Amino acid sequence: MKKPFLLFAIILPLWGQGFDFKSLDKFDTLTQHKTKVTLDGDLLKLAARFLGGDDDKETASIKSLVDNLKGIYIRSWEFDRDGQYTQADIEPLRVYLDREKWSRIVESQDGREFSEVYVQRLPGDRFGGVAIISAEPRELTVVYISGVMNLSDLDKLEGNMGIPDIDLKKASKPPPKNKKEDEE
Amino acid sequence: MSFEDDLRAALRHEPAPTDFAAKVLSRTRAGWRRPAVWAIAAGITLAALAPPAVLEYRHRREERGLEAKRELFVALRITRAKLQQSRERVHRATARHIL
Repeated sequence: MKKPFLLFAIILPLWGQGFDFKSLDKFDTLTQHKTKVTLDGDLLKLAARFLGGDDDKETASIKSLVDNLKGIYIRSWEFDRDGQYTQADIEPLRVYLDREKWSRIVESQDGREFSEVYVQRLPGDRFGGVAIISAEPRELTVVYISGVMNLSDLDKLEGNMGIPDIDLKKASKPPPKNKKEDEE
Repeated sequence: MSFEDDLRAALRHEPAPTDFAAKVLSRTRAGWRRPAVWAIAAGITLAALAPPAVLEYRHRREERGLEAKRELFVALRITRAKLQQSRERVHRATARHIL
């Protein structure tokens, strides 16, 4: 009698789980140039609290977007040479998005570069998330943002939103802790 | 009797009753068995330890929050770049198709 309950207890947490991004970790060993961001619901809420005052229009805009998000997962690798990944490596993500009824709204190929943008459609012009697969011969980026958003939120994602332009390679390193060194 | 004799008598060494040590020990143990004593001891310990622990927790939470904010900006920046890149690729492909 206990066995079905045990099985249920194991399966239930896995049921609502999204794509397993650990399956892409194999690229980590191939390059030093990588950016990985994993922000789940709690971390997103914490980040939103540190965004600043609500009186700032752009901050309020980011906050309103982030408040409805469930998770942000970014994986980006820059390789030293061509052929470090294949289409088959990305296929599990495509299969997952297809299975979860995400729609591919953009598919563009320019030589060996291609981009795919997916959204999970919800009733009432809303989306359950946006995913991007962007590939170049020496670069692969996967963006997966889960959470309810509308068309204006998608516009926000493509806009600046007051986020300063930063060097992404430097951004993946933690900021210096010693302020005195900076001042000197 | 003189005053010195009275004093000597008062300060005369007298051996403690045989059960004195046992009585003291039993009273001490009884005191520690009282919940109020434990509660006071726990309160004092907590009062001494809590402020540094709370400060440390707040400090760590602030550090984690600032790190999460930085990661959020990186994530939004990459998302924006990739969405714009997709748009540009579509534009280029469309322009080629028209030409």
